[in-house]
Amino acid sequence: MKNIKMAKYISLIPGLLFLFCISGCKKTEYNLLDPESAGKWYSYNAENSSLPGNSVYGITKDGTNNLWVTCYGNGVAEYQNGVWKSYNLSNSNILSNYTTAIETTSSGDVLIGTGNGLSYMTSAGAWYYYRDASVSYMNINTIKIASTGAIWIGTEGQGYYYFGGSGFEHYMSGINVNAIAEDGNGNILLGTDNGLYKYSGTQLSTSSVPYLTISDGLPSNEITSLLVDSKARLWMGFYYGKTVSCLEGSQLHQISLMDGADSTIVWDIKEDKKGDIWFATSRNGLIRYDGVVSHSYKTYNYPGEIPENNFASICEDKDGNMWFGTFNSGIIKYTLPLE
Amino acid sequence: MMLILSSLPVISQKSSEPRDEFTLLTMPYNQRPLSLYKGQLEVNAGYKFAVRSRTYDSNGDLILLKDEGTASVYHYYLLELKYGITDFLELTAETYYSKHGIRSVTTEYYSLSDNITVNTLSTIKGMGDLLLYGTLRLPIDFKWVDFGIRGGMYLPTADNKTSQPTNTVTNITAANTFTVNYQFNEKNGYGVPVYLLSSDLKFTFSKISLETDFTFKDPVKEGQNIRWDQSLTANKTFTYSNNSYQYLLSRSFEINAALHFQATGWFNIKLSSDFMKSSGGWTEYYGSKYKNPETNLFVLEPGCEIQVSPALTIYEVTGFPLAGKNMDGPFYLFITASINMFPFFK
Repeated sequence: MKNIKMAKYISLIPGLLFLFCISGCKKTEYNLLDPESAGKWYSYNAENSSLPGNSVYGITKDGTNNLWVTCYGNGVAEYQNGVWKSYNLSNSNILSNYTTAIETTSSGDVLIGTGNGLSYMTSAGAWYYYRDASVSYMNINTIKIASTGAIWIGTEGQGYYYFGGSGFEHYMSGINVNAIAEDGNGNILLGTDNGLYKYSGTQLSTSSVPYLTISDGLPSNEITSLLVDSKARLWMGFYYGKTVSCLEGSQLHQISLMDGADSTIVWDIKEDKKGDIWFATSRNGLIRYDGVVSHSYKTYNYPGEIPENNFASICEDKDGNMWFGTFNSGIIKYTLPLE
Repeated sequence: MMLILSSLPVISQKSSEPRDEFTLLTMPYNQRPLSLYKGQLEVNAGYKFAVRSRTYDSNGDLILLKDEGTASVYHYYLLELKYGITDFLELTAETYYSKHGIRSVTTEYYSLSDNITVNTLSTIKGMGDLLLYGTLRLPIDFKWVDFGIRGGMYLPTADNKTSQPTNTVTNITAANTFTVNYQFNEKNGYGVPVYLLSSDLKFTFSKISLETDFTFKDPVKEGQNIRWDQSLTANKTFTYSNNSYQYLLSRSFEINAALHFQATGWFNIKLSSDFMKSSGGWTEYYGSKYKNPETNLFVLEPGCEIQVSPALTIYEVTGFPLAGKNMDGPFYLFITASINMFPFFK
């Protein structure tokens, strides 16, 4: 009798376990991505899409996560719901079709750098422009919106322009300012042909002392690209360099580029959601540094997926996909693989 | 359902057959019911050796890993404890330990100044989860048909959180010429409770028996694990960081059909086929949730059962994978020693 009672109690255990566990059930419905879509390359150009041109020198995303790209010679384009909407001289008040750089503000305004000045489209669709009348040309290389909301514009041969809310101020005339970045302390870093400059509250001039040059260990003074990554490391790409530099704290070290050759120019540097660092280069395709080794993406090892080896720009969209602008083949979207 | 069934009054079977321990322990397979006899204790200890020499891709095409230089072996150790509460109710506790190492193809990275060789070894080892389940069969004497249901759960007793990698750098012949040896250390275990429901049907005609069973597993909830990232410093040492990610295991079902032939009282041979399929679920990768790939595997399993003594039986099964999708298809040998006794009844 005792054994029967014990057996009864023991036989209740599976049922009780079942009830206990379903009370803690938590399964939420999500929009799931197809794993077959990971690790894929998608190409958009003027021939297979509504992208207005194939020279994509600048890419950014706005506050609603739409992509904006420059198409040199064809204005700019906005990518929304799978369609490219173009803005050029024939359908807008853009300053020039020769667009070189692009940025967006937190309020949804779009700043477009051109071969001769800055075009500005507000979120309401109104157009404005700025061209410094005191200079013969204003070829914009780069635009940076700082965390304070200030606008920094790097130019070819005209130094940089600063807009803090009450008009543009002009500094370092005669210097090529190719790249601008901001570190975690709010300092603005300027990559120039004369080394790296650091703005810590006082505007710079042509007599300012660079923060880093060849004498400090840089492989070259001609800095073409900058990135401050999520680990607070400063990455620097160069004109005709074999390596990129990484400043980590006070330590400066060089990373060799995969198949790096003398003619490699690093035009853009970005970090993906995994923490890998991507480099857009001229003649050497795309390079991804995973923290240990560099991985090369070129026409020869990705035939049919990489259309050319000259890349100008990089951006990451809201889903973590990487977008790469080329010099002659439009823009490529890459969905990161799952490993 | 288990709750309802387990609250039924426990009734001993009336049988005209002798019920001495020797007879029950030496009952051949074709006359044996689907659960243990009342008071019977069974301890099973098994070892599976598998050769991971082939895998199936998303199209179901076979890939020979030997040709890619990434074949590996797999060791699996099973421990199972069963007890017959009554002649038609049995409780089981089961766990395992497994060890598996997968080497990837060595890769060389060249640049103008660098020559880096990369070797990768991924190990998956450790204890598995504890499986507890009950088996309920028809409350009749087994003559030629038997039906049973099983219900239980995998309890997340295993520490399934991925361990920090143990990467090394060797063969440093120059500042930029060296070998990187990645070693990733994953563990076993689901990390969440997983339901198990199963049904079993057996027919016997003289010396021939046909047994089929259907098993369904479903995770109770979403789980969380960690993913490791590494960086190589200038002085060739690794630094690590980790990020957590969420996942939902796939549901799976398994169908097994086996034909047995009782050659003699102590020797039974069988040929079974096993089909397993999983679907559903998802895994988070750096903020995006991806569906888990659907997998399936079909295996042919010839095997035998040899009763060495009333207390000791040896089971041997060989697995030959024949088809699959998104899954490894290893060839395996699985040997189990089964010890049976009636420790509490005299």
